[in-house]
Amino acid sequence: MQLQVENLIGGYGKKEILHNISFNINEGDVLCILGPNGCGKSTLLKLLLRIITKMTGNVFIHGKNTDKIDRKTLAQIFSYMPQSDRMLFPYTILEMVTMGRTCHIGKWNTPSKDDINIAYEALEKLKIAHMANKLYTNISGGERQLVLIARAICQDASILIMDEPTSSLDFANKLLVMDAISTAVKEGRSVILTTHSPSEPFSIASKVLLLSNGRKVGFGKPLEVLTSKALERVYGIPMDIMTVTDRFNDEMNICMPIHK
Amino acid sequence: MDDRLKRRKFKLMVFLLLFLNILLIVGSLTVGFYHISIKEVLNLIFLGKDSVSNEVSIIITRIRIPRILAAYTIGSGLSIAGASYQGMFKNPLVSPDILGVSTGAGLGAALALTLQQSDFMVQVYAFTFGIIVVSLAYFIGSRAKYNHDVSLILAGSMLGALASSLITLLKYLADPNDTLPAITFWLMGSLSKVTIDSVLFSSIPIIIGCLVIYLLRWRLNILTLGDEEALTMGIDPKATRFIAVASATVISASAVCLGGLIGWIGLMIPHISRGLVGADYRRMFPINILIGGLFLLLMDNLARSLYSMEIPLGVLTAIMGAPFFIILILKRVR
Repeated sequence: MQLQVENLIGGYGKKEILHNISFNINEGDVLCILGPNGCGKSTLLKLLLRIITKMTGNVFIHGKNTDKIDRKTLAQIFSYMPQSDRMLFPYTILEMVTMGRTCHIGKWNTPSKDDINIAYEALEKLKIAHMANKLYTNISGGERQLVLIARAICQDASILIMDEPTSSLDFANKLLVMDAISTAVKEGRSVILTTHSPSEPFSIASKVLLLSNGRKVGFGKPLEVLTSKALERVYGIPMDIMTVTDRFNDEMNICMPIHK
Repeated sequence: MDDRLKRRKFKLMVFLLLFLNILLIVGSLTVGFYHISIKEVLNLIFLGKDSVSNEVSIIITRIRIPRILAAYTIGSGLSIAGASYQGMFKNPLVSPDILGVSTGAGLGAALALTLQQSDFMVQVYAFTFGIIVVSLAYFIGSRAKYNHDVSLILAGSMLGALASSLITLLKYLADPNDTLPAITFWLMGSLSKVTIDSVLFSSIPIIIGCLVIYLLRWRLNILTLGDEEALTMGIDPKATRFIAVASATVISASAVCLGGLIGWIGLMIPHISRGLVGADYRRMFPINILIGGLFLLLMDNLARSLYSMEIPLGVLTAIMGAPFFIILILKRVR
């Protein structure tokens, strides 16, 4: 689905955090939002989701202004995976994923058998169906992220919005989450995610939005936007973009902070 | 898919609990000061009024049945109210008494009694004070700088303490011949003054509250994820929470009007139910009703038979509940 953001300004209360952000993405795009702590990444996601109200600017889905879309329909367009997730009640993984169906069922209804089957299929797509009856409170952080991606697929949203899905994970789990993201993209969904790691966009993103102090510094393909000059300006430390070759002779780009 | 297994286990549990419930309800008819044998009870149930003495039939229909109904509705109602407060506030350690709702409702009711109001106005006062306390507790808890969970519990306890000291003031001012004993006795939590009229009068709002929460059962699950996630799943968290909290408060206030301050049920039973069938409100709701009713009925039987004099019901549930709460804190919540 085509998403177009025009001159978006917003923040918390009267405090303006994001200034004049514009970008657009198409179906199947993975947009990585990159920037230092406090640059407004999470705020931007919350503005798109209408969790917080924007001050000015417009967000269009297929040319339609999202202000005019009701919550239930909006939930069928955007799904949200928050940053900190603290669950105190012992729901099973299948129950957690089934919650994604809420925007497809009536106000006083509960999920039908079909809804539960859709949830189960989402778990199968991400190869975690064997965990369906485990408790969400008892699994690892990486597994939780996979469950939440399954929930987003189950919600059948066109655009998956994720706030730092990989930031608290180890290497192996990061790769699992990235695989899960590619699974969602292969189904024709788009993904918008925030990250702390400047190398991450090279491996998964088709587009990158670089933010600094609430302002757009760059937007476009990762190799065009993430130059050592741009990154140095944003992070204030020298950084090099390097191209390395792995054991399969595949080239990849990584970003290295230079520490002397 | 072992989901089917789980469903079967759930059905089995419902049947087992229903069976235990019937057993206990029939058994409870024999418990009390006046000796009635199980044979007389069964005769009355299956053969009708003429098969037993007039005395027995009056005691059963006018005294024991209302009392059993009261214990059951209060037990089930408070469990449902507790479970919804816990979900709504994302906090497994709250309940009508910990949030101060029960004491607040008690203050409202005591005030109405002092002002010689009608039964209906006693309920209205109880509800009004209950909803004021829960709103204040929630407001204070959510405005706290850090640790909202603990702040909510502290705010509830403080408001409860405030309400309880105002009750003491009312007692001090109340007429010692008439109003004072009424307030004191009733606040201890007892079902000995229950009549069929008072049961019907208070159980209607309890049943309505439970029905509303039952209809919201799936949305309660979504609200435990937090407001932002609920919003992005297409639900209005504020409106849903308001309806659920108002219903839970109607239940708690009516329970207080009927049986006085009977604590701890709303904390204990939801945890036991969750331990048995998991957190999903669709499964937990029926189990909560069955266990809540069963538990309070059992406690009331103990209250009337343990000692030659009747023990206040609120005292018994507190003796069970306080250690339970301590264990919960030490285990840091399932």
